[in-house]
Amino acid sequence: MSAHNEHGERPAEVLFGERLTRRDHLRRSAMLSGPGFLWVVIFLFLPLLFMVGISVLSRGAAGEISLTFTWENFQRFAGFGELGFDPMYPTIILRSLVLGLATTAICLVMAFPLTFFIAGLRSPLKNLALTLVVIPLWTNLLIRTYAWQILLAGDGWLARAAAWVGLTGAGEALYPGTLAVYTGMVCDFLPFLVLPLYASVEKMDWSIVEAAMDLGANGWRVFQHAVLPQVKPGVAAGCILTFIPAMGTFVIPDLLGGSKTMLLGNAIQQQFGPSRDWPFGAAITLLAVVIVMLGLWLFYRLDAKRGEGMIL
Amino acid sequence: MAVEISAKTESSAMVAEAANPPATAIELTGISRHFGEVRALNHVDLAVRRGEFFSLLGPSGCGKTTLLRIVAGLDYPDQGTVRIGGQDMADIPAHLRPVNTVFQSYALFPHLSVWDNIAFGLRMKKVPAAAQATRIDRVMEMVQILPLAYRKPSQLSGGQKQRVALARAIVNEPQVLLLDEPLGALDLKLRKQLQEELHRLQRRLGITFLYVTHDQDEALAMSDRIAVMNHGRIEQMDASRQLYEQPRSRYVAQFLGSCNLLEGNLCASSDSACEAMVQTTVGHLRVCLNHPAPLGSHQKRLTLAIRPEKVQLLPLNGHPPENGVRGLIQDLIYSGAETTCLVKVGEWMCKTCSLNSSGQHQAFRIGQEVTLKLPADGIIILED
Repeated sequence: MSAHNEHGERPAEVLFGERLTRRDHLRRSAMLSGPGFLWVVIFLFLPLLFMVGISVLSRGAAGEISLTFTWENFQRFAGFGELGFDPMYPTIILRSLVLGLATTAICLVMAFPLTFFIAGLRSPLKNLALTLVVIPLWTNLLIRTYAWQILLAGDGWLARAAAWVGLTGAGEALYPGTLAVYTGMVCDFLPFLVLPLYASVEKMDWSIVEAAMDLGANGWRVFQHAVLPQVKPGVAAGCILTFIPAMGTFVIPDLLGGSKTMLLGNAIQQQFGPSRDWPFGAAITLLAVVIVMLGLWLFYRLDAKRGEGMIL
Repeated sequence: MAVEISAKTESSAMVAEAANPPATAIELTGISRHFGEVRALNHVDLAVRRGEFFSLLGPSGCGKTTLLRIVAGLDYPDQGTVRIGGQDMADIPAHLRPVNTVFQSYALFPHLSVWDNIAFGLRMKKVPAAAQATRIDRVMEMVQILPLAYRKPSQLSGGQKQRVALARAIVNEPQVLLLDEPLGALDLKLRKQLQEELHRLQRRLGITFLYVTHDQDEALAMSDRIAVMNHGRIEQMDASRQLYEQPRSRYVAQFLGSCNLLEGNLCASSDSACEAMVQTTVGHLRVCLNHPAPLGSHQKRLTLAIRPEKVQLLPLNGHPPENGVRGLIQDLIYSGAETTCLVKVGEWMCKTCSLNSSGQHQAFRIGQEVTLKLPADGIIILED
């Protein structure tokens, strides 16, 4: 038999349980991926291009976008504005990075024991526990955050308990403050770490853990050599899902931190909103994207360097 | 080979070497284990001698793997004591026990190379790097995986994984090597080959092997002694030959090889002559007793067993031999090396088996009337 049939088409191959010619296959692929592809191009890729474009333009006197090319927005962001060096924006980046990393770290430390606890439950209890983990996601972020305000207020029972133990003075509110911000953040992002981690833990091959014990590994070494390598994909997915939005968040720090400190999210919102400086806002946004991409790339490189490359 | 570190802890190594090495490698006393309502192990007593190849044989769910895991310290008995090399293991966790396990699923570390997998145990014990390399090289050569050192487990075939799992365990020179159906996932030919290699390896290393399998041929081929397990109990524990030739119970007789069973009543027995007469549905049979034992009173019901290869198939002509019965050939099954023949004697169906080298079966055909000779020394009297 020749490689081509009488229509000049290549012989059909079996894909997804169906015999498809190359043309069928292309048509099928276009149908399957088309809607998503168009959506991403129109609503993500093109706006992103606009943003890149706007970031090198300047602000007009009335807050409009003026079509004059300039690097000024990036210089300003790096701290070299018209009025000499001002570390405000670099500090904002640093602060947002710290918030993102710290939230991820706290969530990770809390997610590990919780996930193993859930994985060890019997099946009806297991589903209940997973539902409880997801419940915060069912409530609107704003409502959740206002709820924390009430809970942490001076006359709330949490504040009174803290005062009774002697942690704070009587009638003193637990918010605004760093503790309140992290409370809200962890509450918000914990499910994003627990769920991917749980998926990994459920798939774990426990005979590998037993093998490590059998070969003389004790508690920590078992975790390091037999557990961690197996749940690493879940840890990575969870950390990425947590870190990226945590770094860009501004509602929680605003409402629970008392809008005293500026973060990347606020800075962007301020430029597009009150300040009416779209080019500078676009520049901040772009740099935030670049920072995240850089972080992911570094992460990937580190992983690939260890010869494992199983995460991304 | 030199035993550099025979135990996982220095202290237990010194204990084992300072005292005269005990003759029993593993001693289990009254081991019971329940999983919820299920009784996995029921007062199991077992003693494995040093340097012995000992098999636990039984169908799935008989508790053999649970018993192995209890020895390894990966599971704990509800009752009973485990002693390894004379030392009580009650308070000794898995990672400190002087045993290593070859897991059924191999359980290789997927993120580590073959070399690192094998080095794992030595690293955990902080063996100096130079000594590590020597030992790993030697073991890898022994199981013929030297060229695979830098591969990841995902790049290995089933047989290769099996060899790595074996190397990873024996490189630690354990007092006892525990093997949990290590050949279960391999195809027949490879399994046969690895059986021979394992057997040779065990003799070369002199390590005590505790081997769990549901494959009777495998157990018979490799073991010095076998314990046949059923429902969490040991049915019989004996040397391979003894177990096959002299099964004590119906269960053991049928689990190990195939067997023709025959009900009968005891007519007469004489302790001095070591023989008995048994009345069965196919007539009176003389039975030789290998181990003189009181058979009980007259007319006692007995179950007789006879292996297919012990039954002789004879043409009808000539004088009927002793213990000879007449039957009709129902089926002839040719399977290469041997031929199996099903003969119907009244209501009793008897299976015979003979090597084709003799050409014996060639003379027979289905429907032919024949004489079956049931040799007196080939008949076993079962206890139940």
